[in-house]
Amino acid sequence: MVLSITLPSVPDDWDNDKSQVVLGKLENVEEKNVQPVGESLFGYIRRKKHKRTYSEDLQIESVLKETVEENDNVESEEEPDILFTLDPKDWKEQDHYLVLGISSLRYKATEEQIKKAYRKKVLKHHPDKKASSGNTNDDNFFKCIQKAWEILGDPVRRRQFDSVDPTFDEYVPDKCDAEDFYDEFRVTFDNNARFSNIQPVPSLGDENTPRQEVEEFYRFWYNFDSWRSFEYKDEEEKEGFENRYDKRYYDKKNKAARAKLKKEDNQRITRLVDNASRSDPRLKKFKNDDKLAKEAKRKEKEEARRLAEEEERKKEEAKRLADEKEKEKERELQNQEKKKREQQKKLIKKEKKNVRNLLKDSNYVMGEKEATIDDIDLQITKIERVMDNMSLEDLTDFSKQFEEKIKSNVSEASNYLDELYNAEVEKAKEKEREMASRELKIKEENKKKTKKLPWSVKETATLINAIKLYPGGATNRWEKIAAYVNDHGGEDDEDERTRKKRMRRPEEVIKKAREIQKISSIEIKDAPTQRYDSSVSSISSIPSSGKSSPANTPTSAKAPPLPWTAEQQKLLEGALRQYPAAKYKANPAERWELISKAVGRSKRDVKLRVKELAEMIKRKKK
Amino acid sequence: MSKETCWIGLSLGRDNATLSTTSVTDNVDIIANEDGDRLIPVCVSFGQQDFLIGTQAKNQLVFNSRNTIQQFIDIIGKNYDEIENRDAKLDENEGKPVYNIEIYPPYDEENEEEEVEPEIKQFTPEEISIRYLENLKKSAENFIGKEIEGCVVSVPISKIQNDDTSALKDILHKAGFKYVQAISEPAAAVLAYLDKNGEEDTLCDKNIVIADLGGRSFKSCLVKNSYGIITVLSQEECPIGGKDFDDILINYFKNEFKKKNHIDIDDNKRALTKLRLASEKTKRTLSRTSSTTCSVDSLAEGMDMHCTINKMRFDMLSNKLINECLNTIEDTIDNSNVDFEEIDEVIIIGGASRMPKFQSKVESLFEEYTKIKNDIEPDEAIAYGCAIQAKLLSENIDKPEYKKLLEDNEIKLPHLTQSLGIEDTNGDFIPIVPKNTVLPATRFIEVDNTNTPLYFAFYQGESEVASENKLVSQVVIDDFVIEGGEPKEGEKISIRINLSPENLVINAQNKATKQSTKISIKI
Repeated sequence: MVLSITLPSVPDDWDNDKSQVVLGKLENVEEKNVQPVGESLFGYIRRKKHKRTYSEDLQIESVLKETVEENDNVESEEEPDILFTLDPKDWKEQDHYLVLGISSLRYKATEEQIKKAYRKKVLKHHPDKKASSGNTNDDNFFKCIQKAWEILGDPVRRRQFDSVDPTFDEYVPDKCDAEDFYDEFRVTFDNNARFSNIQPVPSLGDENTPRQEVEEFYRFWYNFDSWRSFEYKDEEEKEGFENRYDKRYYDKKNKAARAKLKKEDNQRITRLVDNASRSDPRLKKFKNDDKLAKEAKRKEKEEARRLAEEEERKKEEAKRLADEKEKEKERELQNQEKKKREQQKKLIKKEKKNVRNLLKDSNYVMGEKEATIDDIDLQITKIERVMDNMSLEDLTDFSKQFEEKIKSNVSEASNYLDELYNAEVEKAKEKEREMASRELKIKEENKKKTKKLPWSVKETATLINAIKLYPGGATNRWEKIAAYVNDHGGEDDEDERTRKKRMRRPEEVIKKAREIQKISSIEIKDAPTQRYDSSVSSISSIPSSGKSSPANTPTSAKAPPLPWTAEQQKLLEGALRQYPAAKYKANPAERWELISKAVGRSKRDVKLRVKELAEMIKRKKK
Repeated sequence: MSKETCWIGLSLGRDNATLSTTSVTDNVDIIANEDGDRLIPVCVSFGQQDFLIGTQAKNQLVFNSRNTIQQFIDIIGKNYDEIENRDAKLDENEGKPVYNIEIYPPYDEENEEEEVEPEIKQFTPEEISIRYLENLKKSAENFIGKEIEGCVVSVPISKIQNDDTSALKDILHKAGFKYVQAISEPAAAVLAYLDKNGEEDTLCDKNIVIADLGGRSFKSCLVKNSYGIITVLSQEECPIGGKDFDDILINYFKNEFKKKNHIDIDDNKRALTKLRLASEKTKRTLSRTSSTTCSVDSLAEGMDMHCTINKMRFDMLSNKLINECLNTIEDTIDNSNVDFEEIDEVIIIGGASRMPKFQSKVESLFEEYTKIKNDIEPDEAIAYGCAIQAKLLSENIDKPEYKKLLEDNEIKLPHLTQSLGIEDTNGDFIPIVPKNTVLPATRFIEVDNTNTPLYFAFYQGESEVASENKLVSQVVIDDFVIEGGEPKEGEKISIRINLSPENLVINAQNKATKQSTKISIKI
């Protein structure tokens, strides 16, 4: 268990430029005997001997202790002599991959491979091993191995080193010819791809790469997301400054240097992509293709427009022609009809003339008698009248008959003419009469309609009931209400005829209902304190406020109920409580009798009143 | 069979020896000898034709007491005059002790009637020890199936401190061990428990008391464990051992027998030996039951002895002895710079420590939070630790820096004798490197200050209030402060502090971002 504590805050008088203050020496350090036993003591001795720190030692020992299967997939590289002359102090200048023997893998090495390579080196070059094999006790190289692992074993520090890997080629090819393009740029792009945060990086491809991929490639590289950073080139390790001022100064300096390098690197990548895009034969081809395609498209469009216009024109022409034809036809038809009519007219005229001639020739069917002007005129009028409304067929028929009759007997012809004339006159008269009688009939009908039976009290009450029974929203409400009123609205002694007369149509019912509502609401408003009485009187006054003579209605015979006084109301209420409905279930009539006695009014009055009250309460609740 | 070699651990007490190894399984195994004994009595017996050791030899104490020898290892390398409690068989030869052993010639049928005179032979304690140890080595090799190259032997801490191990190492070499390391008993016991409980117990700072109630003496020792390195701070010894508890029983039974039968066995050596063996068994039984009967057939003058004793009586009789042990522990702590309250652990070992009364009394001596550790067989704990050390050495013996350890009984290293720590937000003193820690020391803490500069105020002293100690240095680390950043909940910064006599190095790492920084102070 590691102790977890909270530190105090920095004292107020702390000098902000300082990171440490030493106020005294460590005291009470004495030599004491320890027992030469246990792993920890062995570790202590080992650390002292190899001058290792606690954590370094822990790490090396854990590597040594690890029992890994020795399946050699990492080939051992030769160890050039130069390695053994390395000074661990100059670690910044050293190639850590070479030290671990994985210089062929470099940034491609997996974590596993690095670990294995390190383990192998530790086992081979551990100072203990060297000592036992009689080698010199110079463990400089082992320290270099340690440093290499410290850097490559830590993903962050490894990237920092990879960023400034001395073997990395910063070269950016210039613009070049199409035939050299792939050779020139492929290697460079592949080289730089290692820095991408996004993997895998699209490849440059070749002349057959689809256009989409090529464009994707350039889009990727123009937005290149690089992890390359330049902490490794920091001037000074930022550890161990006694003075915070110095530390901040170097921090700032390093930060600026890093940012500058990073900017330069980004510019380098941009230059690379620029150069590549300028030299890429594929891009040129695409551009050309685009141009051609555009041209082709333009032409195509034009052609299409032309065709469309033509089509339109043709269509219009056709339509026009069709219309003309139609008109022609119509005109012809009209002409024909006109001709026909004219012909008929002509024929009629001819026939009329014929008849007139006949009449004239036959001495106006006056027989032997000399025809006077008046006679002639009368005869002509007659014949004109007879002929007036005749169709062609009738006319020819008439002329034939007339001619025959003239030929056989002039007087007969004269009679025939008179007959026809009289018939004609009679017809006209008949028509006139018919018209008059229809008018009369309509008048009668209207009279009948308005002459409906007025609403009886019972009917009105039934209507109110029916309205309650079929509340608003019920389907065919007014039809139902009307039927209800028709069934139940009559007096008990009503005969069949009055019943039929009384029949109400829904429109009437609606009208009546509105009327009732209006009256009752007005009266309630006028006399709110006496609304019991007034509402009753409103109902009782309905018959008198009806339109036509109330004296003829059967209800008018009965006197409207007297208004209820407050005292009576009180009595009624008491009686209702005294004789509850539940008690007289078997015989409700008896109950009403008792109540009416107690109140001092008729049974019917009481019943109506109670009904009324019940409705009032219901309304109030709503 | 290949010429594989191995090492063993050897716990060599005054009365018993225990062998241990890690070569059979990966764990520590106690080696049982041919008799099936894990605890092999330090005892040899010269018979007519044979030479016996261990339990077989101990059984001869009654029948062949004149030629059976115990406690010979104790006196090796000593002059005759230096030896207290001289054995009857011990003689002087030019100032050195020798044992006179009567060796009878082989039985001769022809001279059946003839009185055979035994030949008196003289053996030095060294010679006997070597023969005994050779036997143990052979047993171990039979058990493991490998040749034994080296051994780690435990000796009392006093011998280590007095550099009095060469005689023992010498006879072990002579007995056939190529490499021998002598380690102290408390160190071995601590090692055993560190190994058993793993890293969690090893990588910490603890003050540990080892209470060892052996056969002949009680040894109390205070050690400091600084991340697995063991420093003995003080030790005391008193001559009270299992034998004294046996004596209590012997006296009790003797008196009871006297009361019953009016027979005094004070001068009857044979009877006393019989009674001693029986009493030892009775004592062991009483550790597990509340009452037992000790029976000896024909103890004296043909009379049998049957005597019942209950635990309460035994506890009562042994109370005085136990109190003396407790006084010894108190002395040990008083002689160190550590307080009772600072004791983290008590390890109880030694065969006699099995007595429940002893365990409970030791436990009650310490604070409640002090852990009592007794889960390794008390007889075997030291051998267990020796095996661990033997394994470690066998793996590293080719390296000169470790080979050198065979010669050094102790190593001198710088220790910090006054705690170094930091102040926390409440003004409390939090020791980072506690007193008696070996330098250089690396210690780890975590701080939960988020997005504020880390302020370390290093103090040296023992007061719980930081300001009452001596301010050594102040350090501010502001690398983790992000301007305008919000403090993140649960964010922690791990701090590694490395203290050497010359400087103090602070390594801080933000656990989330892995960003780290280092600051070094010359103090």
